[in-house]
Amino acid sequence: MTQRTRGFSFTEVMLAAMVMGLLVIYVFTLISESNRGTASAYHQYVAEQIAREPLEVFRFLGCQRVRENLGQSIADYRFNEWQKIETVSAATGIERPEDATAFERKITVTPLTRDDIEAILVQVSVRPLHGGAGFGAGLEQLNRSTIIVSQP
Amino acid sequence: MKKQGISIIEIMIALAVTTIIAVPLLYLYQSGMKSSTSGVVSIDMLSEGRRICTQMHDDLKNSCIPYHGGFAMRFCDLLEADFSRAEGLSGAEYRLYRHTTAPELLKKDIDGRKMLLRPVMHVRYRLEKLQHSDLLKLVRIESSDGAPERIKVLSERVSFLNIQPVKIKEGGEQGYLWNVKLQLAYIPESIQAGFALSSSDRGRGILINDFYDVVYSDFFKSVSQNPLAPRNWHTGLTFQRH
Repeated sequence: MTQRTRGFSFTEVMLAAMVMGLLVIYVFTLISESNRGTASAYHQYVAEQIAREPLEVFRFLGCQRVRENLGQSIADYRFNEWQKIETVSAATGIERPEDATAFERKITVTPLTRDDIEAILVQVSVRPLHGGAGFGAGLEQLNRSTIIVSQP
Repeated sequence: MKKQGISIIEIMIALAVTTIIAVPLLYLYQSGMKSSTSGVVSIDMLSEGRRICTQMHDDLKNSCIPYHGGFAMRFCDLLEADFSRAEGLSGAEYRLYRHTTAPELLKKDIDGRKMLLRPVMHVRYRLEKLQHSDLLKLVRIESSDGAPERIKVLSERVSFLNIQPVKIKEGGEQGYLWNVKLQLAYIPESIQAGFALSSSDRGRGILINDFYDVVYSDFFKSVSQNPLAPRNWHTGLTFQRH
């Protein structure tokens, strides 16, 4: 006579619970990764704009005027040091979104001279403040640069 | 004796187990759907905002003052902000003239002088109220001589737009640039919200993307720094004598 199995054993129930738990954890990870990816795309865009801002201002001022002020700052753009981003620039009145305050920026200007042509290399780095949202995807710093040539 | 059917106790236990499993699954499904929707909307808003900012950057960068004789010009003549018919931001309009990207020059007769000028078009950015929404519609209207108006809806989720001049003072000289601030938002139907949302509103389930840009007019920079420079300085072609 064969003995009929009634109900589930403790091991079966535990295995089912474990599989279910793993599945739930996987789905939650997937959702949070997706959210982080979306937020990181937005933060990268804000950082991109923060980096482009001094490039546009220095292009406007021109090579000569930037070269003349290399020893000091231009408006409130300081050189060779990490600078926190404010929502409103005290010197120019440029307004930035609140999300921009999660970043800091470093501007480096290198004078270039070749034959009779004078130029400057402007390099801007933007990174999240310590403990900030960050870019995600392993990106720790965003760099942008431009060369501004002196007009004849 | 062989047992027939299932008892009420068994059904109750099965129901209880199913409920215990189904409730978190349903919650998981709902939060997944919500998260997926907000992710799609957020990415869509980001690309929409980038597109608008790129378009505005291009318009402001190429902005100019049409030539009507004389050389006098002011920065404030480049962009006209009209809030006279606006309620809040709804009805507000930004107007400017800009050079086209077309490589040809137009022959014009101004004050008896034959001139070759770069084609100019008129651009308007208008904010309009939307029905059943606290957000605004942003429309770009482009018109040029002899061509029909081109109207394009850029966004239907604008909660704030401002283009204002900012002054840069350096070495005793001063110059002007524009500071563009744009905010796009997604407000779920269950939430009531006004304009110019702050980041604290994100906690209420509102999606907010802020954009900003700084841009100068190529034309105004060149001509204001060289007052006698020809209007189409970039082409090398200026006057055509009789």
